[in-house]
Amino acid sequence: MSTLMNIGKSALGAAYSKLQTTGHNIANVDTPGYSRQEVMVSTAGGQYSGSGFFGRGVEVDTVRRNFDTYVNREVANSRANYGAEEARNSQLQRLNQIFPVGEGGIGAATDNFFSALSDVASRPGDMSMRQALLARGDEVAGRMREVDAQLQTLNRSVNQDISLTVSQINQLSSQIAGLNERIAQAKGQSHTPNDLLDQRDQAIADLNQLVKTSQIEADDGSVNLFVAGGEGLVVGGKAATLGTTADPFDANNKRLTIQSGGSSHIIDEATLGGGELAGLFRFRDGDLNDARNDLGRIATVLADAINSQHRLGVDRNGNTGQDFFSVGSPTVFARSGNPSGTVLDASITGASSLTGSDYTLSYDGTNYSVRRSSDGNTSTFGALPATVDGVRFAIGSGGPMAAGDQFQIQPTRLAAQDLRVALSSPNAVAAGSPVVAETGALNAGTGSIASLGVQSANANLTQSVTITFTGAGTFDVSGTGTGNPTNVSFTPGGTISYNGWNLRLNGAPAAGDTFTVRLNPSPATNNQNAQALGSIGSQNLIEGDSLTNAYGSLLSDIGVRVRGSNSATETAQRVTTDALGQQSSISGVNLDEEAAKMLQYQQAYQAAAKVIATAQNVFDALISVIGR
Amino acid sequence: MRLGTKFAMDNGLEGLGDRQRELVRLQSQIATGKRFSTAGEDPLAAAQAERTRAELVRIDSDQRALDLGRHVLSLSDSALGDATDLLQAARDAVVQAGNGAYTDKERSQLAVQIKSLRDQLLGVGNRSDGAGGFLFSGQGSNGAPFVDPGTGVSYVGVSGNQQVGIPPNIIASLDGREWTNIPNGNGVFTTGSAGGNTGGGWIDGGEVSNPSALTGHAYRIDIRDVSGGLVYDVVDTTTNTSLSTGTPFVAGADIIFGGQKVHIAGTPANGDSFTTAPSTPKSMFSVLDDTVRLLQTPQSATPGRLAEGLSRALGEVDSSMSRMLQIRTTVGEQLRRIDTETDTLQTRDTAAQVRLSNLQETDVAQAVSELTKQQTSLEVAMKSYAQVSKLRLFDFL
Repeated sequence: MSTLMNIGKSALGAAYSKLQTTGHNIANVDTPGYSRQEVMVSTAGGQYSGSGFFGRGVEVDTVRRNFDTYVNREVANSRANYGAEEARNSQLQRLNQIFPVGEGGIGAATDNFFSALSDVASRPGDMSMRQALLARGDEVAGRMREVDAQLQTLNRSVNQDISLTVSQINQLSSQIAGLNERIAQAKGQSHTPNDLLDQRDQAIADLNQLVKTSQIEADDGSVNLFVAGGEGLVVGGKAATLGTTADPFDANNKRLTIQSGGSSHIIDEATLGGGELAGLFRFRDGDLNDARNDLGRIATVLADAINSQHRLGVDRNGNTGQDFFSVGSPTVFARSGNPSGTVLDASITGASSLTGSDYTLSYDGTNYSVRRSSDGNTSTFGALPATVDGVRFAIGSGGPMAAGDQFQIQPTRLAAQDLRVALSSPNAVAAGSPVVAETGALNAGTGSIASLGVQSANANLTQSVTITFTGAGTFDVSGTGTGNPTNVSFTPGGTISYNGWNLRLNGAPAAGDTFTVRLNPSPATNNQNAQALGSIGSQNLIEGDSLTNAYGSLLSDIGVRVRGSNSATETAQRVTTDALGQQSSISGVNLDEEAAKMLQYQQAYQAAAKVIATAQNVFDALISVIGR
Repeated sequence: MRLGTKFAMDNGLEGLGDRQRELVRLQSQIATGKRFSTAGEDPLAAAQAERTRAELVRIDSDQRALDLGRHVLSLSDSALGDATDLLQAARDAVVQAGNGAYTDKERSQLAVQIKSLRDQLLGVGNRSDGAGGFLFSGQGSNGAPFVDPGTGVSYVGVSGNQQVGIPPNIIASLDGREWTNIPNGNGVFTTGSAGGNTGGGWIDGGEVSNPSALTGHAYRIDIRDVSGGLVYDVVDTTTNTSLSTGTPFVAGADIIFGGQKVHIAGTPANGDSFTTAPSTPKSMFSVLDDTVRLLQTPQSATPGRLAEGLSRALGEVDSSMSRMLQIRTTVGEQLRRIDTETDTLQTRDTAAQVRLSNLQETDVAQAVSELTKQQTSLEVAMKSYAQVSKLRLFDFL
């Protein structure tokens, strides 16, 4: 009698626990990280009697959460990957916005600058053309500075994002450490603390969104987390602290540190592997620095090419041309803690060989090695000065170097920031050539002047030099600085060079014909240097690109990065969604399922109640018989 | 496979969000008319658009250089036309001065006329190009290219042409030195009579009889009286060799030596001599100045000198006019080239414009049809989402 009652009671209890768990599942349908729970039951065993084993009802064993460690790990990993791609992508979108296309762009300003040079070449005597050239030059420089300033702002904001992410990571890791402790305590009991485990799994997944971790479960149920290939972030109930510190080279730059116990050290950000933090560092140290370096390279090449040609010309008053642009020079950072206090000098000697990469120079006591950051290519020298990719390295003050000295060199990072027009007055535009070439008035042959160019500064540049043909293929030269050679052989179209100028003649000069190169008597109206300056626009000076096309290439480079990142982000998102779908199919709550179960358990509950009622009735019947 | 309710709902919503974003993107393409506003949306098109736009700017500045060239050359052409007219007027005056009936006074009036023509010619030579420069300033000059300090006009510009465009190929100023190196005499050689001549003979400007026999040497013709008859000897004064001796002199008859043919008219006297020499450069202004001086000098005593001087002046004015014609031909050639290049530039410009518009601008028809498609699919997605999410077992309990 009591057995039936007990069976009914156990069934009632089991049905109720199931209803309760279903209720719990329904309640948590929207709780992030919640795993569907299930009541595990088994028969309460049988009781032996002469007629065999009689069941004693049902027993509630435990409440189980539905999960799959592998799938949960997959979710954490895919979120780490997605976090990295997404963080980089959203920064790249901002970078993408900074570089304007079309009329508002640097490319358009550069085109207009060269177009203004062409106008000066057309009207060298017209002051308004020279004034317009200075204004256009200002505009190119201004737009480059403006873009660079925005890149710097972006850099600062990325650094802030990094600090913010680091503090979020620290919060999550200490939360996980706390959960580890509570789980280890609960482990002592025979049942698993499902909701704590859910919380920890969710916290680990959230942490992975920020920084990729590898997880190793310990015997006591706690999970140890490692970042950057083996740095312990959470070990048992203890969490290490991530932080930022000044870069040993460039103190304005932030590096990632990890502090556990009393010691703290810098982590190589490239080993982070995933998570928003990795994406931010990848953007800052890769994309953003590349963009600034490439912009700076355009500024450097523009300034260098224009300046060198401008210095070969003469201004309105006949004075030698000065620098047209001033531009930021290479930045050198000595590592803090270098054994010697040597200052390294870096200067640009061949702007068109620049790569846009940064460099590290280190001295091992015998050799100097210069490492190009973009591809790790290293050149070794026994002595300085040495030139790599158009940058000349020399020991400045405080030499010699000591073994272990290290320097970081950024050849073009700050170039755009300091690009300015250096000329103050339109008079100073060196549109004219310092020398002119004339054919002799009595020339009988068909020889004509094809071009006269100034190649280099020379003390005798403006000396009068006369070339007198002694025959169709030979000439004599007379004039200071030429050494007055005689019977020099002449090839039509070939170049005749003396005193820093190059003269090319077309046609066939006859014996007795003369050609004279002399000081330009009217520098104000001469346009030859303006033409030489204008032709710089179409010379291929930047990796096979002309100055007017270099900005387009920079744009497309950034665009390609954005596109690549877009599709990488989409892929990562799809992978994450798939993993979440997998997880949801195992751990997620389905309301229809719960509704069906509720019906089922409700019926079970009612049936159990009927069992009790039946036991009661049976008992009552017995009592009434006895009582009669 | 089981389906978590939350995941299913979230996923459905995300799908709707994606479609909405796509709709907004299409809408903005249609609204702005641009296919992209940043390089990230279409890196290749953005880079190509930059290059094409650079090409357009380049075409534009080339076109400005061509326009400038056309402007300057048209002005130069009309200046050269004016100069030719002035020279023609001077030539008429020289021809008129040859009228034997004219008196010294009448000739000096013609001199005044030629002097005025010469001054006008200087004005034409120093004509401005309308933009602060000079038409004939060569490679450049600090001020007017022709200066007249009172002793004759000289050219102070740098000889050559100023070229514009990058690379330079359009002439935007002409070489004024061409005005100052006209070959004197008849263009090949010049003739003259010795200063101490006593007779009334005069030598004409001469002409080339055999171009291949020209030597570039100077010659002298000496008149001798041999027993009542005049004869002449021809001497090559460059090499100091005698070419012929004792040829009987006939006034006005051909005298031919070294590929040159001259005539001596009038009545030369014993001991008179005449010379020829290769032409040397002479300024157009000097030609007129010399003519003015000739006409101002009283000629009644030595009429031969006048005829000789006028003959030379006529030759030199003709040479000047043919020089002007020659320069005008070059200018015409340049103008024709500018027209051709303008055509080429315009073709390139149109092509680049089309390319740029293809690269940058939204294909509205395509975008609108895409928009409609997206709109329909968004509507369908929303309806199905709403209906599916309404299906809950709880509704039937």
